[in-house]
Amino acid sequence: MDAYFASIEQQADPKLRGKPIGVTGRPTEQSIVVAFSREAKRFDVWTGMPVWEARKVCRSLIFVPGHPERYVETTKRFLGILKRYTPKIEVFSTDEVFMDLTAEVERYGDPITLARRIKARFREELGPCITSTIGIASSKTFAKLIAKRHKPDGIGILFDHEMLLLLKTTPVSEVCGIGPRIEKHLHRMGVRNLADLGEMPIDLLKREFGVYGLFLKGIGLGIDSSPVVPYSEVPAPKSVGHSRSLPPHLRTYSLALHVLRDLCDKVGRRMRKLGYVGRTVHCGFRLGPTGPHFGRQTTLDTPTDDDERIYRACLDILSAIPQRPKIVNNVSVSVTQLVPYRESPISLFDNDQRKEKLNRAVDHIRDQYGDKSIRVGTSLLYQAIPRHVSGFVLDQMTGEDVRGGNSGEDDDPI
Amino acid sequence: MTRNVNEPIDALVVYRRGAPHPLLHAFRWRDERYKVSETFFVHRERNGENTYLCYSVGSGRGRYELRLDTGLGRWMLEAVDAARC
Repeated sequence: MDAYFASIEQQADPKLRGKPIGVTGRPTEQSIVVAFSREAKRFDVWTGMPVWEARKVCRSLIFVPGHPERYVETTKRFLGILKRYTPKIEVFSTDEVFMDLTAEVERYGDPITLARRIKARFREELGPCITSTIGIASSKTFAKLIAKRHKPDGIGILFDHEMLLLLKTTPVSEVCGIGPRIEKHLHRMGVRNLADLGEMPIDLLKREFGVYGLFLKGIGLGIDSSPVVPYSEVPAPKSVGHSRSLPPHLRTYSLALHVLRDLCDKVGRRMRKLGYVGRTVHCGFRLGPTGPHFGRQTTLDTPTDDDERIYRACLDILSAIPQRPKIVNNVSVSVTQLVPYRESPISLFDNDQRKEKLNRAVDHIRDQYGDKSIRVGTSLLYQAIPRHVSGFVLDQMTGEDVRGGNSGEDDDPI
Repeated sequence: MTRNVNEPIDALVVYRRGAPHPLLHAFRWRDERYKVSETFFVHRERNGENTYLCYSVGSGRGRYELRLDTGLGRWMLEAVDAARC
């Protein structure tokens, strides 16, 4: 989808159409812009830019607070449209999907006709402002590359006979999965474009990048064998975690502990929702804005999905900090070594069983009356996250609704 | 400029078979009838066990934000943007 959040805002409010807009979390100078409209993108702006900087670059920029409910609804709707064509849909992020249409394309004549048809459905059912770009290729990486080149509101197709030319003319940084660090590394090795990458000996790439070298070699040869993984077959999670960058008024150690308790609560709830228990708890504190990061992990005797136990494990970890820090900028907690709940042993102790029943009851209340309907008392000791903060709703969505989506600047699921 | 209103209203809607949400045709607010010329956006919101359908619609030169409590079938006019273009 093109300029997704911004185009949804323009669809909902015609006054914003044709104007440079930036979607923000909070309307403060410290906030960041999570999406720019097409009109704003003509200026030198980038996603994640601080509000003050965006204002400087584009004086006419209109800041619009985000409406996560609208984005969630639109994602559900466009996925609903796509499901009419194939069930083989991999949700890559809130606004990006891969579809395997190999079997379906014949029914529609050719891929371009099918792409046009999908775009027409989008226009009709989502509105004229919410546009999309479709990239068609024989693999995911190259479909994404082609889509990027035809933005906005375009259709791009890569035929097999065009691959060689594409490899010779495409800089490595253009490929999804090759970020600035890998790009620098490749430049040092004399690799500038994809064709150079394809000529690199596989052993050398494996030595420099580990197993990722195999992916890089494939891309250099125009091969990406990773299949489209339908949303119904998403692999089991390896970890469940949350982190939060603290606003200035919460940066003391004692308040950070309250935030940590809340994050443990969220982790526990998410694990129970997903049906997993875990043994290894990792807790991290960033001490000061540019200060050191303290992070350790501990392994419990038995796996758990109980937030209280996760919190106690975190406290044990934090007791290893030699001196109580004055400033804490970021708090994170995650649980790994996950196993499905139904495969974990049932505790024979009454207390554990009672705690488990209590957690289920709390989950039940939250499912019915909302996440904030029942909460740990300490969470009331610091200001709750206001509803308008972007990510509030996305954060509460289950993995089934949207996978891989960024939940905004606060309380990022890990 | 968007102005918050939060007042109950009467609404004229059509429940069309297969449509994802009721189609809003007109509403009455402060004894005045507003014919909906365009529906810009409709989304669903949840607050606890309550589900709402939120409409952003155009009537005349104004834009209106309305909310339907799907449980109670009650309509509210949430906000008004007098000059929408």
